[in-house]
Amino acid sequence: MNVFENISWKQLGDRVVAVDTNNGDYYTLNEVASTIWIAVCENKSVDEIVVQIMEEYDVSDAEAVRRDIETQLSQWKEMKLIF
Amino acid sequence: MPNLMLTNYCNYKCSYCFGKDIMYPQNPRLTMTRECFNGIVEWVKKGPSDNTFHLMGGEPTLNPEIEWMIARLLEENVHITIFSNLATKNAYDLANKIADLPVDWVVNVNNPTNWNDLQRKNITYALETLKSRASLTFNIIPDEDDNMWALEYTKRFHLNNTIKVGFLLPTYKQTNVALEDDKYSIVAAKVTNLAQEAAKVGVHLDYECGVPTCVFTDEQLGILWRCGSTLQSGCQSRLDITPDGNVIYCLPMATLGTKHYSQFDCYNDARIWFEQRFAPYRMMGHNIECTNCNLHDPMQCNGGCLAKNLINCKNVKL
Repeated sequence: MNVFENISWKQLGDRVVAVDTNNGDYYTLNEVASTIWIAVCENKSVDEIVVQIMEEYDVSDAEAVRRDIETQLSQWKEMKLIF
Repeated sequence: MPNLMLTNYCNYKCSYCFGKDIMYPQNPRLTMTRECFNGIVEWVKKGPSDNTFHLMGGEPTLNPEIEWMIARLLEENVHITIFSNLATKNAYDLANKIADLPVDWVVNVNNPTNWNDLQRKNITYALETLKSRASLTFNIIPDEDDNMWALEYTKRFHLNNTIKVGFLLPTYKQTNVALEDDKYSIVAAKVTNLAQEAAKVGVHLDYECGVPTCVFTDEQLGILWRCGSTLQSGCQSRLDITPDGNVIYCLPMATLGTKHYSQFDCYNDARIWFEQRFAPYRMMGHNIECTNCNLHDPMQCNGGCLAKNLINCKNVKL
């Protein structure tokens, strides 16, 4: 997975803000989504992201975490933020 | 109309210079030629624009063709402003020669305690000559004195009664010394104090771009407002043209999106091109608070200097 070249982004504290430089659409991610976004940009696999989220947010239900992450990633793919 | 950079050489080597990304000696020394200058003037005339040319550097008076260039612009009946530190003999000589011409000078100065004897002589003689044709501009440094010297100089030499102050802003490539985030409030307090003292003696404070509104407290903003000294926290460049004819948005972002002026039909096309490309990036802001701020608008506040806000951005490409 990777971020499209036209998506410029940066970290502001524990949040990520991103902008589509083709059309100006602007996104402010919440804290968990920001963690997932940065993990994607660090080329982590879904498995690795699941482990990271479980550790950072003290969650024990791995399947639920995986489902949420996959849903988020699918949304970003539909929105043409990542591929 | 654009700011024309007549040379990228400067007699000063200020650590905080926000032009450092394209300045000599970090880059090859460049001097604008008559041919390039003439081409730019004709190019600007092709489309709509305001009636003012800014001549800057580096130190523009170190371009040996500057007198010819001024004469050329006066033929076009445009307003000319020269941005100079006045610290060289060239500047002093030029100021003497053209003092009677309709040319304004914006004098970039450091605190006078840092001037050597020769610089002091050149600057003060030139200011005596230029009088209200000259206005002072300088950066507010957190650990320097309260800058009352600027008021004293403005009154003593009968200078233009508007003083422009700036914060030490970083270049996109971070090649200069810039103000740390935790020092902005110190500078904001100094600015407010200076604006108050200035208002008492009929001097008006104006601001370089890139000053976020929220570094001032509500009380300080109220004081500035009462002094008639309104912040300009938005950012919209006139565009700068380098000595070799390349158009850049502004000096701190000189390494982003450079194109030769001849690639645009006219100056106005260049402005539109740059504004369209930078517009999405203005949404980024500086803090997470910017995302919900009522002032977050290109014409009101970008969360400070756009170059500063782009430093940690990924995928910045015009």
